[in-house]
Amino acid sequence: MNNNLFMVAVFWGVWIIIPVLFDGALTFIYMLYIIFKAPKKHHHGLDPKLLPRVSIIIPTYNEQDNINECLNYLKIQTYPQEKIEIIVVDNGSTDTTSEIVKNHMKEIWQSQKSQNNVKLKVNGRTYETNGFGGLLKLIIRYEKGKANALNAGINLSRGEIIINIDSRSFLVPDAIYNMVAKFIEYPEYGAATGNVEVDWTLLYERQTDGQYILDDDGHYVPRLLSRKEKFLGKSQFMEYLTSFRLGRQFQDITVSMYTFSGAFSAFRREILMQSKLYNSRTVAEDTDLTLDLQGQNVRLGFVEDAKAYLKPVISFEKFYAQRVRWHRGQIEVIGLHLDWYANLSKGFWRNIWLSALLMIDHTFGFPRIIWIFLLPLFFLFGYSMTLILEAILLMYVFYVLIDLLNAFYCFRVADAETKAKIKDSFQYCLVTPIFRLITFYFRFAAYLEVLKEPQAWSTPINPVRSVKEYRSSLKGGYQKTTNFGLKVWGFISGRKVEPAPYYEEKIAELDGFGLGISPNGQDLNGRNGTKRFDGIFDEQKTKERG
Amino acid sequence: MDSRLLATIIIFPIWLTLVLVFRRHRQWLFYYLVAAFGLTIQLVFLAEHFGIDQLLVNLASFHVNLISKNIFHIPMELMSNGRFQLLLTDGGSSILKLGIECSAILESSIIFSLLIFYPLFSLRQRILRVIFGLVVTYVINILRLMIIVLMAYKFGPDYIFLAHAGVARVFFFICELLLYWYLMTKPTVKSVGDSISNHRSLAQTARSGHSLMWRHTYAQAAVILIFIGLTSSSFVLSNEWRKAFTQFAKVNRPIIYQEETGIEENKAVLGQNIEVNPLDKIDIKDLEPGQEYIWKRSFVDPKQVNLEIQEAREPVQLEIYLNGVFQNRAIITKNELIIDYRVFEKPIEISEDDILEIRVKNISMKVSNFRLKLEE
Repeated sequence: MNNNLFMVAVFWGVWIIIPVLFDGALTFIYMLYIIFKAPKKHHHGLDPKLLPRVSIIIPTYNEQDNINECLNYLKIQTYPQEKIEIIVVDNGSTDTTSEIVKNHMKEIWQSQKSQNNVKLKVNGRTYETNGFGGLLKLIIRYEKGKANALNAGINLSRGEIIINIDSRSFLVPDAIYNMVAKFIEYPEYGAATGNVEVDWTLLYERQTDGQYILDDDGHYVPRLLSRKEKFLGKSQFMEYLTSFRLGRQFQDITVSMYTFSGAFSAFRREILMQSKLYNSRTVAEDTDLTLDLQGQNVRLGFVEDAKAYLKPVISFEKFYAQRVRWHRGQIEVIGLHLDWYANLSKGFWRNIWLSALLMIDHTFGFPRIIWIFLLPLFFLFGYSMTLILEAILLMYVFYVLIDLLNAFYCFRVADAETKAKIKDSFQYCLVTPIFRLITFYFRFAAYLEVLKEPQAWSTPINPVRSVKEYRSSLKGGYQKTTNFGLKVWGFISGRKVEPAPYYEEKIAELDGFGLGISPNGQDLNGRNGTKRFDGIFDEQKTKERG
Repeated sequence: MDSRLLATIIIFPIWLTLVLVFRRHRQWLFYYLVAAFGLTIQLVFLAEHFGIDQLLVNLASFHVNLISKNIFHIPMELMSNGRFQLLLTDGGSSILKLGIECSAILESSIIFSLLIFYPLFSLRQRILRVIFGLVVTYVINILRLMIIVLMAYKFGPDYIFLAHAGVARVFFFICELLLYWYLMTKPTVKSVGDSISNHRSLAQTARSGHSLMWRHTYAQAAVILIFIGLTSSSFVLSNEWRKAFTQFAKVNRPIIYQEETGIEENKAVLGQNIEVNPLDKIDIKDLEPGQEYIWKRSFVDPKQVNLEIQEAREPVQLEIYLNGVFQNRAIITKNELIIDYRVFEKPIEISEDDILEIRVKNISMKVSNFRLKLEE
């Protein structure tokens, strides 16, 4: 081997190749496993009379934007409609969520044609939402907590298969059929998660009053995305694609499912009833339940052709809140299942893969946060700048290649619609390394917040929002200064100058299910101080005392 | 004033302000990032300024030499300034020099900063864990160097690079990862789980030591004590540490070191350079990375000559051939300015009508210049 090349390899071997190899190797292991060990796809000749009753539970809180469409997608399911039972559990929304559901109920009750008859275009076919042969129930609770909402729905359900979805996930017409088919064909599966795919085309143009705009054919008008929104949306598309089609598929084969997606997961009734159901002790009730079932050695699966579309999160603020919730939940849930988790004597292979997941996310994170910043400073230790730049470039290229490989693999196995979307977002593989970096830092923030901040659905301390506020305050300061200057100028010149209005950007409140604590720190359930961790609400407490 | 020290003095107040501001505003990501990264940089700078990295290198070379000789029975000669001469199976010998990156000063600083600012532990736990982490990092580093030495001895000097960049690095990486798992991930997950299931605050849980477990504390303290005991006994049992540390106090001085006579060595090092008329000067210009320069000269009379690097900035490999027969090899991986550096401890014996051949190979990544000197 050329000596120069070898020295270069030495350098990269030291700082880069090993961490990068880890990521790349995992992708290869995933692919090899899936290619050689994946179960064959099931057939679609099930007797409709033998199909079980299915209950779909949708917890909502202020979801007026999504619930209508979510229900519309459920109405066009190919599964026999008389065997579908939809239960919407509303956590006392302050908007028109329950009204929308009630309208749907009325329509079904009176068998009327839908008043706002919307045509949905899914997989190239147009479906019309009119009429529904199944049941639609609405529970209104005046208590917060997604887990409790889900449990309330489960307790009221009568189906043999219980499916939980988010009001933001829209099931493709054959999703429920394929999901149930998996349960019928493979009796060993106790629960399964669907294939959740991000779809940025589900973001629609809206009027100023929040109502969606319909075009002449009755379709929603897709929203024109800004560059930032495209970046977030399409990167999330690639991320979900990999994490479901590769990650979940792999976890299914190796019996090491880490989490079910809250957006689309299904359970056999008897399995769910044996478990402790959803628990509000953590912010990740879906992972909690998954690991609960995993601990009972229930076979958990992944159904590739049961697809649900999910609206991407397209603001960094909400994206941060989401990631912090996920990874905070990760630490909390794993902490609660340490009696078997990462204990290799209780299921060696399962725990190897599950521990590897925690190790990559958490343990790797510590040296990595320093190395990322240390690498550019290596010229201080005698390495040449070009070499460092080459190293960074090589790392970047490697990550792009991994993403391209993922995309290529997913392209091979995907259906026509997903293929079109992959083609559309192919070039975003070039920026996914940046997206990975952002998610890495957001994840790390979660690992610190879990130690310092109380539990909350949407994080009260959000650096993205803080930066926004800081910027807006800067703008305010600038405005104030110029106004002062204008006043002085007015005084000197004797002319009256109209000062510009004081600039203040209104920051939107984050919505969520809450955990008994609202974003501004008020205890909504009246249980004072139960979730307090670090004295963040001490100020309020002293006020109450005073 | 040293630029590293100056940089630290400038960085410190800015760093401290930022850390306090982020802490005050509960921006934990920025707080931890700035605190840990800033401290790492300052620690590395200070360590370089006060020569702590050199101290670590010397200590490591002493320990590696001790272990290789007494446990693996590898023929090895400890030299000054973190170097040792390894007698190889192919008849030649290699001088291995521990570079600053071999001191694991970077890794130690990182683990120090990450642990000291990690918000989970109480202060006492933090201090214990920091010391434990540093001790384990040092031990892992010694094991890593042992892998390099063993591979060099068993398979020859060609495998030094593979050992250094590949096997030993992977070993080090895996061990560090397990250390982070033990020091960070496991207690984090456990404490968070405990605090939720017991409805107690995390601070209480972590402080009570309930979730961090006393047996781990005892185990860590035991490891630290065993390490201190072993290190101090190694000093008592072996006198060679004097050799390892001779150069420590004499940084930036011309190194002329004679193995045989301890007294002369001190004289030489203290600045009384023995002036010798150079026999020949070899000026090598613009040597491409990986390229080899071959210099030949025939001698009429028998002589004893010394090869000295007059000036070099890049890693270099030097090989001595007498009448086409390989005699000796030195690999110098030092990545900084070297002036008046004697390459081989023992002089090269030249008999009548011998042809001396010196092969100089640029093993850096740059086009480099080397100036060598041949002395009688």
